[in-house]
Amino acid sequence: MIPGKIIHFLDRANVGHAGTRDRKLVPHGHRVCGWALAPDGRTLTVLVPEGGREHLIESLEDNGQLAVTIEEYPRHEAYQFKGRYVRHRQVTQEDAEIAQRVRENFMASVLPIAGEVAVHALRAFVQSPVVAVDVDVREVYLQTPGPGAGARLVPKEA
Amino acid sequence: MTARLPGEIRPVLDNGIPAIMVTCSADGVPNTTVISQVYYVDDTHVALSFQFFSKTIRNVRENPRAHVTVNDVPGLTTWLLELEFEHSETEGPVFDAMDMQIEAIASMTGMTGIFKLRAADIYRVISVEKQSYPPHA
Amino acid sequence: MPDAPGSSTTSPGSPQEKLARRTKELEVLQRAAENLSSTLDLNEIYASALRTMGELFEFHHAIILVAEPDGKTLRVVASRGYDDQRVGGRVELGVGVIGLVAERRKALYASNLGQQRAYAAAQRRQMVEAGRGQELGEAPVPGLADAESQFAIPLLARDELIGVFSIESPLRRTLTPHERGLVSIVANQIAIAIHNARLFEERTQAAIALQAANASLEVRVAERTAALERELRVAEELLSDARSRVEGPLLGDSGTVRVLREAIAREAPRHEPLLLVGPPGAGKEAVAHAVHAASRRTGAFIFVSCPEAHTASRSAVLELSTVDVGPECPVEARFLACKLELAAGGTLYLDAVHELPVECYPMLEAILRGERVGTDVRVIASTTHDPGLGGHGSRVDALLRALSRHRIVVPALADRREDIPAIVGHFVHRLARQLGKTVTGVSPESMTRLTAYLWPGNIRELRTVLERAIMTTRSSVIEIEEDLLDEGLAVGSYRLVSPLGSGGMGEVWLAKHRLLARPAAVKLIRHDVKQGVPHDQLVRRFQREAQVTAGLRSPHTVQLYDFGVNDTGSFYYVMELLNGFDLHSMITRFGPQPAERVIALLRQACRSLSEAHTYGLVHRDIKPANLFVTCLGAEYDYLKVLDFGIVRDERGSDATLLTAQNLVQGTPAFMAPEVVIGEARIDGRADLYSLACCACFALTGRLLFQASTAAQMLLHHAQTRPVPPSQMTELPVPPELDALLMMCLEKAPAQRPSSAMALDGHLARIKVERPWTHEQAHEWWDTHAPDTLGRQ
Repeated sequence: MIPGKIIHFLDRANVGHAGTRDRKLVPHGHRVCGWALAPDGRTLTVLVPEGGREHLIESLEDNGQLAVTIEEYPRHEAYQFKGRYVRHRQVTQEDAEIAQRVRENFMASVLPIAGEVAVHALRAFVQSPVVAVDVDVREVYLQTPGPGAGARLVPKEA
Repeated sequence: MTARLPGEIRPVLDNGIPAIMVTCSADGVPNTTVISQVYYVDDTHVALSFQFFSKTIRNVRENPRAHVTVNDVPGLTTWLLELEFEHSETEGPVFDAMDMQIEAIASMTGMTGIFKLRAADIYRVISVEKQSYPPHA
Repeated sequence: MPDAPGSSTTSPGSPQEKLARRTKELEVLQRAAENLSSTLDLNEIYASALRTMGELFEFHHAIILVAEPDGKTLRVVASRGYDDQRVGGRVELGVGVIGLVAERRKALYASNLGQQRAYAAAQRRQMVEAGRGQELGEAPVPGLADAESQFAIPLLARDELIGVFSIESPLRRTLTPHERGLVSIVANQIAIAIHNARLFEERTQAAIALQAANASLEVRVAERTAALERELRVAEELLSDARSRVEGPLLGDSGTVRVLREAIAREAPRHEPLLLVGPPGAGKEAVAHAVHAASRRTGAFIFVSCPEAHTASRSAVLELSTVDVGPECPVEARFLACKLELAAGGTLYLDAVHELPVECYPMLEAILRGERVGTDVRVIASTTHDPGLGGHGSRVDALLRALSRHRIVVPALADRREDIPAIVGHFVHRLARQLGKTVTGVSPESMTRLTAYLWPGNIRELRTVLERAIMTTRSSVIEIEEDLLDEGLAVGSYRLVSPLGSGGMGEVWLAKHRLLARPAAVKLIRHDVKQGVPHDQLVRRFQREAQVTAGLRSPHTVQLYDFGVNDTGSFYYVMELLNGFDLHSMITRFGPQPAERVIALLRQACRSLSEAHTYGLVHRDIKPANLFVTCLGAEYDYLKVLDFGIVRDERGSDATLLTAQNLVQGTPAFMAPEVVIGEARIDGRADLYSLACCACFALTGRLLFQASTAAQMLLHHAQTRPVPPSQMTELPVPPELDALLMMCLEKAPAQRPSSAMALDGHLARIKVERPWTHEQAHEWWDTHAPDTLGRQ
């Protein structure tokens, strides 16, 4: 259900961030260090590092609501994926490789314009995942900055 | 409950780096978005720019709680802010300063008048957390 | 979103390093402050500010703009680090970062501009993909295309926008608040320095402008002072000359002059009228001045020439006067009233009061009766006629008697010979200075002559003789030869006594024959009319003219007694001396004359011209000044035609024109058309035209044509049809006379009367109501010129 264009985008994107909310409707933000789309084209596995784990599982288990924004930096092309939590699991080697790929994408994009920023700081930005969350993507929104940000792409808006 | 922003976060906020904001609608659907600037108002308040009516704006009007993540890449640090929407300002020093920033960037990029600041949304800081992360091995 | 790489969030280093940095910053700031405060040169200020940015922060790209007077733009005055230095470039207020900062007068700090540009670029792409690309404007290139940070700060001095100071860097992504504070400090110093420099510049310019104005003023004052000094010198010279005329006559130590001075002292404090009686040239005006000066009256001494009061209508005094004497007041009386006004608080001196116009009598008599109050004027009058002797006409005698309650007799120079040396010394000194001659005095022999001479012209004559001697002397001691003194300059057998008048050709003098008692008039021809003509040719011409005139026998043509060339080479005629008035003076003085009188005078002129025309001679200068009305024996209103000096022989002889230039001879106002256009053959009918012009003048008091230049006048004679005299005057003009004069004024000579004789015949046939009689003429002369009677 996720369009091919966005699938290709996911291959080159290099920054991600997720959002949940707890039972009191308090929103929480979670760093994301990788993602992978299942062959069914609608299940998105989101990899979260240690720094993003707080409030994540308990919020998901409470209400199952998850929103993930994945971006290609520095072009700022971005999409938001909203869906329902399916499950979470331990990360695998494959997940670590996915994170590494994102890290490499990030390094490749940012290093030419990083200037004085240390390489290790750039490398450290994409952390290693500690948990993988599967999300049944129900909606995809354009999130590239601009007046069109927030437009729903999947399913198409009437 | 109100938290005070430490001084060390100020340069990070003043860097003008886009941050990530998470809001939640009244019916419990979270929303993540990129925001262009988090403006330091004082040690208990920040302001976020309201340029066009979006999901984020609708959410905070329904549910005032918001979560903002600001990254300090060279510092290997992430700042996590829990905020509560207090009010909007369409005039005053905060609005003027944010408007000036937006106008300045717009004039640099050929978008003068396209993204006018409609309001400066003032948020009270509920909590602030500094997360340092280790270098990647 | 990742943080911007390269941002500095803290000041790294140990405390010592921090201290060292702060110390360096303070030194830089202090140096900047010293540099900025020690100069008022704007370029030095700009350079110092830009240099400081580099020293402080290694911000190598900086720009300073100043607000333009229009309040709408900023102009780049200095920049550093840019390939295109941009000095002179302009930014609109409100446009771009710098324009925004200027408009809002608030500093703007923008960091991580690379990221912000990328963010904005994403927005642009999104808009384009959404079909809203046309809303996007040009992405202007900022100061640096790759700037990572920019800090622009308005330069303010007392709320006045001086300009904007902006720094940017492609390397530094951020500025710390501390650094921004330092830039603000420098910006404030820049603002103050620019403000002070401008104030200084404005004041310098103002001082320069003031200096220039002062210099200009000084120049103008100096010029004005020089002009005033010149005027003062001229005034002093005139005053000196006037004084010499006044003082001279009162010099001396004779008993006579002492009596005169005592009389002056006695009469000075009085307010009653004073009459001065004395011969011509004796110094009556000088005595009047002395009386006025001794009186200490605060008002002015106002001189009135009574003979000239007859031409009062043209006096500028009338235009200046504020006296209101009513619309019925005659112009001569108004003239006197004006002079009276000017003399308020002072003295009114009436020279030759016996010639005062009768229209002034009522006003003067009122003054003498004390009826004109509020003017406080002392009247001093002079006359050559002793009122005690009477015989001047009843009214004149009455006036003189009224004036002579107080009188001073001014003696003739011959009655105070002992004073002559003192007077001579005074005049020699004054005249030599005026004429620029170095003359120390008169030789003893000359002084003896001067003292012995009779001086019929009194002091005036003495002054004239001395003036002539000083003019011609080549020595510092002047000699007065016998012939200079023996009643004037010798001209043939005559001695020139006093000038009677002057004209286009020369001067006319009263002269006396050495032996005969008969007075005569001598006309001296001016030297300049002979220029360019060979002397012998001139002599031949002159002789011919004299012979022509002498050959005319009409009693209405002036008699020529003699002619010749005197020792000085001047040509002269000796003619009968006539007492009376030329027609011009008569009409000017007494106004338009009745038609019957004009006819009588014209007929006499016709008789003179008839003889001349019979001999083929054309006068060519018939004009009122050449028609002299006199009394001969018991005959009154006797007219004589004068001045045949440019007579032309119509038979074609060479022109007897005593001029080197081929000018049209004659008087423009009375010139016949054929003379104007230079016809080859001119006959007597040209004289008839001119005579008709004279008749119109006599009847109306106005010239036939009005013109502001001679050329215009000539053109009128050649082209313009004249207005009949009856339409130019309110006095009655018989229609026959009107028609006859218009006939004489035809442009074509053939349309005029065929001869002067014919004209005379026409005139004789004009019927007038009251023909001009002998009695009328007598009465007129008795009234208006009684002193003329009996002198011929």
